[in-house]
Amino acid sequence: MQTGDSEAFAALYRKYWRRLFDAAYRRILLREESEEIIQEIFVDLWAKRETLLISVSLEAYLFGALRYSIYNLIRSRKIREAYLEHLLQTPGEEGNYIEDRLHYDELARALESSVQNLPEKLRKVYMLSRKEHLTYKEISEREQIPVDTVEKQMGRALKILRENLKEFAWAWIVLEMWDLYP
Amino acid sequence: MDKDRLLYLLENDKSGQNSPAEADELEAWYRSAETRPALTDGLSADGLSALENKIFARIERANIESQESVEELPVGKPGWFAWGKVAAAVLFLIVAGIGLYMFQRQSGRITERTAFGETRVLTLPDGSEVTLNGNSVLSYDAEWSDLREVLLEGEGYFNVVHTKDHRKFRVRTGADFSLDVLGTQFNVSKRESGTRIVLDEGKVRCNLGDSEKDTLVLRPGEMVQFRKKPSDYQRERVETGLYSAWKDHKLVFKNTSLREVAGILRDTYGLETEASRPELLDRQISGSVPTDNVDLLLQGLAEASAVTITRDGDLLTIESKSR
Repeated sequence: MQTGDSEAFAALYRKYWRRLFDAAYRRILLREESEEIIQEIFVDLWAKRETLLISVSLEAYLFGALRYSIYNLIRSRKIREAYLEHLLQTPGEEGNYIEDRLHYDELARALESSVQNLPEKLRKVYMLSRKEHLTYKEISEREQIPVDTVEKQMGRALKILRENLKEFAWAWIVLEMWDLYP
Repeated sequence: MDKDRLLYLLENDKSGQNSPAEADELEAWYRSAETRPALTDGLSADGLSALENKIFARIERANIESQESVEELPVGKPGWFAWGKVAAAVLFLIVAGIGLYMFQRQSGRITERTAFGETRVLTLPDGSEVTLNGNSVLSYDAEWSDLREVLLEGEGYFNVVHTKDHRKFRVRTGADFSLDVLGTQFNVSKRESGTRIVLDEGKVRCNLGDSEKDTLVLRPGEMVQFRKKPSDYQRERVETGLYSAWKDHKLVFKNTSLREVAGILRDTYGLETEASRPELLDRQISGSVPTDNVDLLLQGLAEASAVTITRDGDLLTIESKSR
């Protein structure tokens, strides 16, 4: 990680994001704020990747940072007092869980149906890139097509998806990353 | 637990004021949430993937934005730096730099070094004075030509005399960064955490690259810093006195995080710092501690930040006081 390798960073993210997100959500029961906390932890990790000296394990560091962020969020009163009261009295799973799971499944469905409607060639390239995390070069080798064709098809796929999903701001965010980090 | 109790415990945790029992109470609250289900367990595979990608996209975007904000800073215009008009002034600079600049020891080159924690006053051939902070190296040609150039690794406070023929005085901290000054006093250091220049009075011109255009003229009270590449600098106004206090055998902090302090302890005193919990390093301290006696310095730091600092040789361990 200390070499500033973005692939190592992505691998690290994939390894820990889920446990961190669940740990945050359990404690604040807020979808958007949980996402934000995970975002901040990793942005911070990336910014400090060259200078950070971690004396404990990386896992302990990440969960320590998570606890710190959660404490800060509650301290900062961004969580309204009434909500905090509610949060502390909520014994287990209820409203928020159901609603928030629905939200993510809807996001996935909107994406999925748009992907299914893509022209076959574009869909293939898109799926290899997105579902299997292949690079353009790997896709080009596997599908026996030039790299610049992969790139063009990906660009077209994204354009179509973006057009179809333009009413969903959140879907736009999900799509954006492939533009930046193909 | 009710909300007032939780907020009380959290405030105490921030300042390290929780008693052991209170710390346990907060810990118990934090742990109690473990019994709640994991949100992602109830998601479809696609929903899970959408969430994973969504957060990652947010991270990537934030990373890119933070890079851009550094690049967008204005670059000072060269040309209005009138060398002849620079009055003798106090100029204060700190330069701290990542990466090791290898000194090329040439014949007729003078090299001065200080040990960890040592400060020493040197007189240069032109009569200028340099106070070197601990763990620093200054080297220069025994015979200067038109340009008075010194190479610095570490930190130093310079009192540069003005010559009648207005010869430039240049402090170089690496192949890619140097500063030009004329008859002023200033402080320069190069450390691992980055490069920093703080100007107290007068003017200084920073040479950010090979091109004549890549220069930045600092005004009094301004600080410029960068981590690696000089072109990625940030400029801001600061209280300059905080950065020169070491010369008077003290360190002055104002909302300085323990993480930054740990960097100073490593660079100047050769002390490595470990924290039992990483967030302890985010505690901020304000105040002044003496640097003559390292143990006294550590004691002052511990009191100011409500932690315990134990020293074992060159290793410091920071722990929360309440545990």
